[in-house]
Amino acid sequence: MSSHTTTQGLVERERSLSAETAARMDRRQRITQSFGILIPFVVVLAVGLIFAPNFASGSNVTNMLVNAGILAVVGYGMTLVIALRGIDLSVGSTLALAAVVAAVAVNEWGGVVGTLAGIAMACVLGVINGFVITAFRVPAFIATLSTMSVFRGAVLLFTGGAPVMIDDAPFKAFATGTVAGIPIPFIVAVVLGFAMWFLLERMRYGRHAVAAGGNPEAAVDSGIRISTMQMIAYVIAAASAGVAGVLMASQLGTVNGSLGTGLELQVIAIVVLGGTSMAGGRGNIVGTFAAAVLLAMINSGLNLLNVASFYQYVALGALLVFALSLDGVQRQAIRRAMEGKLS
Amino acid sequence: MTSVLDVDDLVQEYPGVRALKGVSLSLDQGEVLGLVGENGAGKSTLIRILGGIETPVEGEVRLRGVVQHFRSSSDSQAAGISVVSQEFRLVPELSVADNIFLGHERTVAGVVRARRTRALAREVIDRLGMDLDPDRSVGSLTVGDRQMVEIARALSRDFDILVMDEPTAALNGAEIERLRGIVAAIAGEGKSVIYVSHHLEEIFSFCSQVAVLRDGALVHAGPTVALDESMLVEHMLGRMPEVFSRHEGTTQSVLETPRLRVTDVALPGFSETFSLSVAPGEVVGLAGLVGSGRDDLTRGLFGDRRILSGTVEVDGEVVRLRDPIAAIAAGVFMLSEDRKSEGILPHLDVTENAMMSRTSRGRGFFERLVPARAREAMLFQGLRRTMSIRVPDGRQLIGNLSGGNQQKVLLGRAVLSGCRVLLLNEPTRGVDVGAKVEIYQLIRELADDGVAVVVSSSDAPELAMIADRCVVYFAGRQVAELRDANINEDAIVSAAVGQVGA
Amino acid sequence: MTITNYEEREAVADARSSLGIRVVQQLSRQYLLAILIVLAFAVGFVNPYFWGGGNLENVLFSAAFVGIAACGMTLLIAGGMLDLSIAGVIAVASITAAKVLPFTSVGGAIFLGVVVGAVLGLVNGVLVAYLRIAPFIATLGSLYLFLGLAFIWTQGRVVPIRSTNFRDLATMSFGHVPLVAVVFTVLAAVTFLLLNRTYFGRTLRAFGSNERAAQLAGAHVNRTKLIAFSIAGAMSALSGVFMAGRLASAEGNMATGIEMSVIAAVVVGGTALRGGRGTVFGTMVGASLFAVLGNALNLLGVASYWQYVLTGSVLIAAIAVGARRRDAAEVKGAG
Repeated sequence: MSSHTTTQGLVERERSLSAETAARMDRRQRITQSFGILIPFVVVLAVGLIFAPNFASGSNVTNMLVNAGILAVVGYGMTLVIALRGIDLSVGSTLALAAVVAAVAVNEWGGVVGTLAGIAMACVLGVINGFVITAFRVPAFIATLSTMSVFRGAVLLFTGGAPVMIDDAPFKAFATGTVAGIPIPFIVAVVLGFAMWFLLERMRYGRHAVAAGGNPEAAVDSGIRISTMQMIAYVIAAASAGVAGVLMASQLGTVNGSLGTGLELQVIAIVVLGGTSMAGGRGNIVGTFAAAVLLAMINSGLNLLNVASFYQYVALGALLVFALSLDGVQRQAIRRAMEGKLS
Repeated sequence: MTSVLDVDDLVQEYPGVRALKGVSLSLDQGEVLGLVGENGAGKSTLIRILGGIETPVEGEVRLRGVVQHFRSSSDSQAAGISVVSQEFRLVPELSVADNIFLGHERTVAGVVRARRTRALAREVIDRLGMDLDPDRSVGSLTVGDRQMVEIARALSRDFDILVMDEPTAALNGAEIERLRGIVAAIAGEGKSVIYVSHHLEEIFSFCSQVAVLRDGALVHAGPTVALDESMLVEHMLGRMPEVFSRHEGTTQSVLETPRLRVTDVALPGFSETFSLSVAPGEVVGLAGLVGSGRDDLTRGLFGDRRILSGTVEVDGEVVRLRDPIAAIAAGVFMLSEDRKSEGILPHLDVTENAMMSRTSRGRGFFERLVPARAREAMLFQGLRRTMSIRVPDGRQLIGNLSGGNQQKVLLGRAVLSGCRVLLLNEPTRGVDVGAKVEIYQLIRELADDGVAVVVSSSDAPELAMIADRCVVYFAGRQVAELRDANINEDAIVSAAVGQVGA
Repeated sequence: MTITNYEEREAVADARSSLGIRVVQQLSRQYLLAILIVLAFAVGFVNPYFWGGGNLENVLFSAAFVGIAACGMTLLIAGGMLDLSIAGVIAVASITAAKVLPFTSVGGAIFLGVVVGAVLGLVNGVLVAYLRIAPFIATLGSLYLFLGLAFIWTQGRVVPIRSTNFRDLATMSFGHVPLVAVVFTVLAAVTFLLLNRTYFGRTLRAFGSNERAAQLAGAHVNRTKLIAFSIAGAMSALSGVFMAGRLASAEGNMATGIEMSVIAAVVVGGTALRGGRGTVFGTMVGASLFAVLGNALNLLGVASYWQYVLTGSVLIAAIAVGARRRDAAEVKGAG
């Protein structure tokens, strides 16, 4: 019996020790995830201020905030989808279709109806994505790769390859307007960001989403229906692309069928950079927002430095790869630590 | 008094096997019923049916006389059955409190009431006598703490019947004692508990009644005070027809270099080190419950689990088993216990499956690039004959074969790898009786060829039949080493459940 | 283990009978080929110009350009992987060939282009095998990396190809059968052999079928992934080099969107996305099918944008149907 107690003592000691280490690692991970974006942010800001002419000028800051806002909005939807272990490659095409539908509707029936029409169109596309993925069981990346093509074809057919000019002045003034000096699209991004954050952090849906993405068996065991969660997520993703499309239509004043080409890459990059893991689980809305601003800063800096837009392709690709390998390395490090430390 | 739960003539079948053969039992209010049986006896199947995860082929489940048709786990939970499952249903990224209330969160218009949730969680945690911060993420907890959270989860629901499946696998003495108090309290409140465990002392200290399953049938049900541990073990075992004549222990020269020598190997998650020695031609059995360390040991020896320290020698040479490729090169091969996800390559035919690990020693440049189909076909025919693999031709997809035949193909893969040390995890799991005996013969033949065979198995009669020596593990420690006539089911099972020297 | 005469005879008899059975089985499953034939006749019926020699030649050119890249993609998909960066590889490889043409022989330029493609493929392989990034996202990133590289190199301008020898080679035909189509067929045969008759192909199919089991069987998984991506890159590059010859120019934008057609050709052709098996013949039929579809749209005067819609929809339909057929337990034990 005595050997039983000493082993028990050993086990107890080991457990409290590993509990401490685990808790420490847990805190460290949360910090790096939340603030990992801070350092590149500061670096880019500093470099931009030092090297780029007119970086801090009013017009440039406005531009950056507008672009950041539009990007962030699409990013929120993508954050949710990725947290559920999915992906949506069709956001660029959805944005274009929503923008075009909105433009045509605005010309016909004014700003309010136009906005609603654009977002509604986007929701329909989201339902299509969700349906293909949940009902047809097509893997998300190939489903949305295909719908990306289908929706793009649809918008090109709709516009016949020609641009659509928007006549409605109040609508065009919306995205170009400011409130207390801050561009409206940025404010929209902040407000929507808060709403998404609230949904994910404070509401039941958010808990269920983390479960569905983090451990689907646990979710099913708790009565959560994974396919419903997925459908909702893809509709939200499309809707956010729709909102961004309407904002873009308002800002540019004219839309065409090739809007948003290549958007999916930027959006995935900001989501991953912002700390949401491709493995699913917790979505980091604040990180996505910060990464959107970061990317907008990088883009504007490169533009001001007259760097050709092709370099931006390279920068973006490299950034994505970098963010992903970080994600993978971090996950592996955690796995190894868990393996070694916990009994 | 109507029983709270009645199970009537429950029959469950899986392809090729009858997991439950007409089981009937009843559970009264306030009763704590222990459920015991060896692996494969049908306990997990019964629990899955009660939990709504599976529907039985025949039979009824009645709650207070009302027939139930569970189509999902939610149905079962709604009917008042709460299950503490063996595999943790926890989400690492969520906090302890959130995990406890997952699926039945306290909300107001969809918004989670964080403070209330935290307070309620703390209540449940306190009841379990734990000191745990409900805001901590579950991912940072030790396995023992996670098990407690899993229990807390089940307790937080509204239930009439609590089913606990191996709830103490990762707990220490003090926690188990606390759990006993909780179970007693729950019974005192008028709820009923079904307690499944391999730890027989717990059955006697927790439960008022005990039911024993063996090979899918109920062989005993009655009060725990009416029997003792050895009688319980006897009920669990039963006797199997001895078709295979036991090989009498080979006389091993003590001075012979062991084919495999494991010295003080430390594995992640285990506080004590492992040591083992296997002579050429010897079949060593590893027994013990799941989690006792035997599976981790075999995986560590194949490079599938990290070895933290210690040495492994094959034929006297120290080897570094970094990964399966290195292990195979060192002459070690392992067959996993999970054929479906870690063994067979479903899209490839039986020949390619068998040739998968074939040694490339002594092959020319061109032969290293292009497999010689004619030769492989002949090799496979040879395997088919010596192993009695029932397959129409060598191009048959392996997925179409029965479990026993698939296992033989995988054994063929092991043979063709030219290994000198063979590690087998549960070699006859899911294999019909006829093929089982054939596989035992094959193992014996391999050993006679000089291969050092290590068989890790939860099937005690199997080990009794084929092992020259049997090492039993309990909670990461070697607790017994049995030889010759001492390798019998009683001794193995007793040692495996923690009863040493029975 | 000694092999006796008995086993040898048994094996030979075995092989002969199963070969016969398998050929018959394969032919009866070629419903896609039937669809292709029916489609061709339907289009020809509506617009007889379809059967014109010059038109068929165009169809074969389309099929070949997509098809050559699709051969490499077939290998990848059989291994459970994917490559979205084709457009980028084609751009960089073609630009390389175009730029060195004035200084080397035609053969040298083609060779260099293919080598560049292989190197770019290696980059993809490293991202997937060693950095453990999911293939679709790794190659999405590398797509933009490679495209960016192409644009930077050419400063956004078009690189003309002035070598008449090169242009002639790319546009050469035997009767109405383009050289590229012959190259496609040869490459398809090579791909078949690679996939089904080499250890490389066996390892590829093994981890495509069950990566965990392949790993535990001692397969060299990482090395094989690297080689597979490299081969796919080389094949994409070859396709691109010929494309540039026909277009008489190379530029960053020359193949945007081609990944859809290539993936569609492979998946619709019958190679399942989940991996474990690949049908090169199916890829040939798939590539031809989409070439005919594209051509039909042209002849019918339909806007080319419909091609985007069609390719995507057909791909989804093919996968959805494939998923349903898999549930009918074609490959048992594949989970």
